[in-house]
Amino acid sequence: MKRRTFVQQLAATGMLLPMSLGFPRLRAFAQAPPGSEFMKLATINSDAITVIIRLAGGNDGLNTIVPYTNAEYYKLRTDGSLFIKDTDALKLSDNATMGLHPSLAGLKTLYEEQKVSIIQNVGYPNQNFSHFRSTDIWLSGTDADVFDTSGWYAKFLEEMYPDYPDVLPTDPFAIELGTFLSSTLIGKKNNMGIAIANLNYVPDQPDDQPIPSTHVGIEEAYVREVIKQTNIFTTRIIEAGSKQTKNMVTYPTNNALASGLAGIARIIAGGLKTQMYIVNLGGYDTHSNQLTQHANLHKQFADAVLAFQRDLEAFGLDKRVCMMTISEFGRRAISNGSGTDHGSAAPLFVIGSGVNGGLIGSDPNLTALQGPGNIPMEHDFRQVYASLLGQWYGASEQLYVPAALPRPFQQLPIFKKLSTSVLDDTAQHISLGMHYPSPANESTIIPIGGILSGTEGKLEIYTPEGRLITEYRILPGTESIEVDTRSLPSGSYVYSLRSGAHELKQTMIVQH
Amino acid sequence: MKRREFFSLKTKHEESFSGLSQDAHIPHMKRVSAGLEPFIPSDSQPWDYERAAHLLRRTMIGPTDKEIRQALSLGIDKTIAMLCTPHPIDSKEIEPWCKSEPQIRAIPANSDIPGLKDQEFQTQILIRRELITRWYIKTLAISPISVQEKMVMFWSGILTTEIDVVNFSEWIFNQQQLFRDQCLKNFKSLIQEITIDPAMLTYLDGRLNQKTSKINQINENYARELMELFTCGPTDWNNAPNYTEEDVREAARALSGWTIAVSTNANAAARSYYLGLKSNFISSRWDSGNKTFMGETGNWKASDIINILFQKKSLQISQFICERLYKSFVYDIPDRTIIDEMASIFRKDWEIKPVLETLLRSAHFFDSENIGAMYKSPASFLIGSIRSMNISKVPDFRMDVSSVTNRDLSNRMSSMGEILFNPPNVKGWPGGRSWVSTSTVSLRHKFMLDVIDGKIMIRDNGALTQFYVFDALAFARTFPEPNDPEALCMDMTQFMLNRKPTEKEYSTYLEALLKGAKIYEWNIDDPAFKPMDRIKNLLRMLVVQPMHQLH
Repeated sequence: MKRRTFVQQLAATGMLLPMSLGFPRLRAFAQAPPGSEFMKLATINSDAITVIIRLAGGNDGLNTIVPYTNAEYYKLRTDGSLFIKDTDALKLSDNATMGLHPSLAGLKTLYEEQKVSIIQNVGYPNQNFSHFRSTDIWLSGTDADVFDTSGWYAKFLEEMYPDYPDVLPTDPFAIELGTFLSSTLIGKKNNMGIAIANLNYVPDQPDDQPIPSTHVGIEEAYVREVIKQTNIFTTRIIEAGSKQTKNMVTYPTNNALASGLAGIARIIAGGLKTQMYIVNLGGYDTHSNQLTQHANLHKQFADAVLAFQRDLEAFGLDKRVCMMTISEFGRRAISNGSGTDHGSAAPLFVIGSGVNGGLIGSDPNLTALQGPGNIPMEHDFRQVYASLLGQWYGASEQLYVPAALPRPFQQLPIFKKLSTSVLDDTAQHISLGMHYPSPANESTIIPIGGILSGTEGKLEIYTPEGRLITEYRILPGTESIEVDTRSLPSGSYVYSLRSGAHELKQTMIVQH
Repeated sequence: MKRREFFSLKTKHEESFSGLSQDAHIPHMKRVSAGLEPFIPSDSQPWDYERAAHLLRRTMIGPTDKEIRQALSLGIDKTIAMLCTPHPIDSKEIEPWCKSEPQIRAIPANSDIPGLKDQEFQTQILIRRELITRWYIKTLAISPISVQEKMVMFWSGILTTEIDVVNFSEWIFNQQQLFRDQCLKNFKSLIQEITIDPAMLTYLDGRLNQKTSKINQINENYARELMELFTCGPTDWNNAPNYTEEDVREAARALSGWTIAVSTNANAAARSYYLGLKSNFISSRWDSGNKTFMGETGNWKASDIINILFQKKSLQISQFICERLYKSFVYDIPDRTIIDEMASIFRKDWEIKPVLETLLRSAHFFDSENIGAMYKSPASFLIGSIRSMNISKVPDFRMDVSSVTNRDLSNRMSSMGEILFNPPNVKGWPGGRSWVSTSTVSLRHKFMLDVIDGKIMIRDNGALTQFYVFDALAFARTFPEPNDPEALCMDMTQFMLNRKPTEKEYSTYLEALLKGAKIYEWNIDDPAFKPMDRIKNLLRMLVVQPMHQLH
């Protein structure tokens, strides 16, 4: 739909009520003031962002990360020659037995930079082979014999933010690109994320509307208010997106996943505080015509991921963002002549500058197949979720067990001990975050923390050569500072925070 | 209305909505003075399209414009009579299994007993859940003018079970058929029957509730919900408790002894792998001692408890259930004066139909205050749109479960908060304002906009195919005067929004419909005039109006 049409419609719906109408801003629709009761439960790493890429349909893990030296592999995939030839597999420099599907060249590049962790043989006990049921299990985090339609991440959010939705965050907790909200983001009581099909609409300003004091008048006004609130979130997203209207790299064309990731990169760069994104790439249910279809999908996937990673690096955001793939199951080791049927365990990827990189786990055990050719599980997918929550988001176990996961799961060495601002110095208490939007145009916000009462800090901005441009005095309790960058020529700068004996530095990119 | 008055009204309104608890009510600032006396059309409140639409929208899912006009010409009495007539439903697509005994355990690997083994058995349970959901969606979409399905949903939301717990769709179908059969008949009989229904015995542990000579496993689950949620509620209108913990315990003892009947499978060896569709009273599992329930002592059985309950708590039960009826048909904030009157009719003999007919016939029901003030549930919204706008090619109407394509509408309903057969808990769905939130409203808008623009493409057998097909031109032609743009605009607006537009709104809508053309240029029969584009233009605007979420 054209933007102008949409805007006209919005105006006509009158969905745009002014603040002045006196709706109770207090409880229902208050924006959380900074540092409010909002984060009272506990701190987690508020800089960390995950993009879940769901390979929907059941990705054939065996042809994704290929055991090309294993004779058994070729035997099992004889029917229809559904194997990847060892000459085609992309060899990994640190591994002599596993290689990547030839379409995953983009991923191999990142793997060699230690930016891809591959966790092998991920599944769960009592594998279910129904798309719907297994998807529910992966998205709810429950055991296979428990029915729960609410999502693990949503339950985590409900635990973290018990006042939601009486108190709303400024930015949505989670965004899913698409028309459905998958159950990952549906909590026990509320939807904890929003589904957005298109990141490019800009709503119009509200119109004044009298509220008749009839039942229907009141309810109509309520719906208007909800639409308005949705708009506020969407506007926040658009705002963030419009601060950053261009990506720093060129993304592949005719690639829906790439377009989605490109949009996400822009809004993260624009300063949106949302910490979870979900994108879906469908078509992996390759019962037939697998070789062609799988190759096409994997090419889309890897090309999009590579561009996204490079974009994040250029924006200076790569330390904050990781990607994680999920799929409802792998596929049968034995092929069916044209493709493969629903299987069990399969590898998954965690990608980004924050990961350790490398293969975690053993090569798939092709001599111990279960039932009609299912690969035995080595890791439980909940281990990966626990690693994400615990290491990447810095959540303590009691925050997510039993709220999000039914019991503790052994974490895996997926993430580097990395944070955006705090050095490995236990005496260090000050923090200095990446500025946003990045690049900065008219102004930018620098997150600061840890200036204790009784002390003071100083924020200085220099040219890379060391010439001081400006400085600010930072008082205790300051959480961020907005810097006017209009008069700074485009280029890169350094900003540093000093307090007592401690100093932290970061890079600032300005682009007009 | 003064801004401050509104502010406090809204706050009170919100208070009553906290948790949307079943007993929340506040005296709202404007009370509808019209009562349960029959509605007499007047100049200020005529029997018109708006009211005919109101009557149909509150009693069925997605009435078409034609059906609304039919009701308008039939008049209130004949329409209500039609609405209250039961009709059979077609379950051929899920027969014979839906009417057969469920297999409840996997047949062992080496056995030749008829039935499914292990993995296949598990899969069958899931497949049948998919199938019954799809069949139900379709049933709702093709149902005629009748309040039957609305009443089935109404009772399913009070006398709840969750398919996740009950597991076997055969029992769920069986229970739903009970609701269909009894929905307008006798409430007390319905309670007697639901108490021993296999799905309910499974959901609330009735089948585990037993005391034998060797073990005492009295389970209070059903006894509690019977009173707390299914009949009188925990407290009455003066906030006095309706029953004690002792009553719950004693009732539980009396309710013991019921199990699901064993299979009547011809193959004797098979009988331990199947269970029946009825229930059985086994006296050796019944606690035969004396119980004192609500002051009455005797060696009560289940039916005795229900009799005593209805006798002692007749006022409270009638008020509780009538309040639920009111909130389902009239408005989320109950008017207890009206409900009290309904209750006195109801508790005469517990017949549901007279109370419903009185309510639907009443001046209160047809008062302009109560028109258009309720929220469309996801089922009403989605399935209603499909039915009322003749949207075809719905993925979920296809019964092939191997294709992921076909589970689309139920996914959308889930995202909007309603999973058929699976209320969030035993209290049912909160409903009301909870249907419309910052995430669901955009899903609702997006669905309608995508349908209008023919944008819903789903991968089917490898190829991207359009689903939810909507012919805007054919839709416009169902209105009385498609070649008069002013009339068409008004008619379509009334149909989509169920209230007359203000002058300002009407001129905006007309502008959208004309899309720059002059009124005299309108020609729905001339493709060169591009009438489809113009009609879609108006529709796009209408579906994002707040009123489109209400009915």
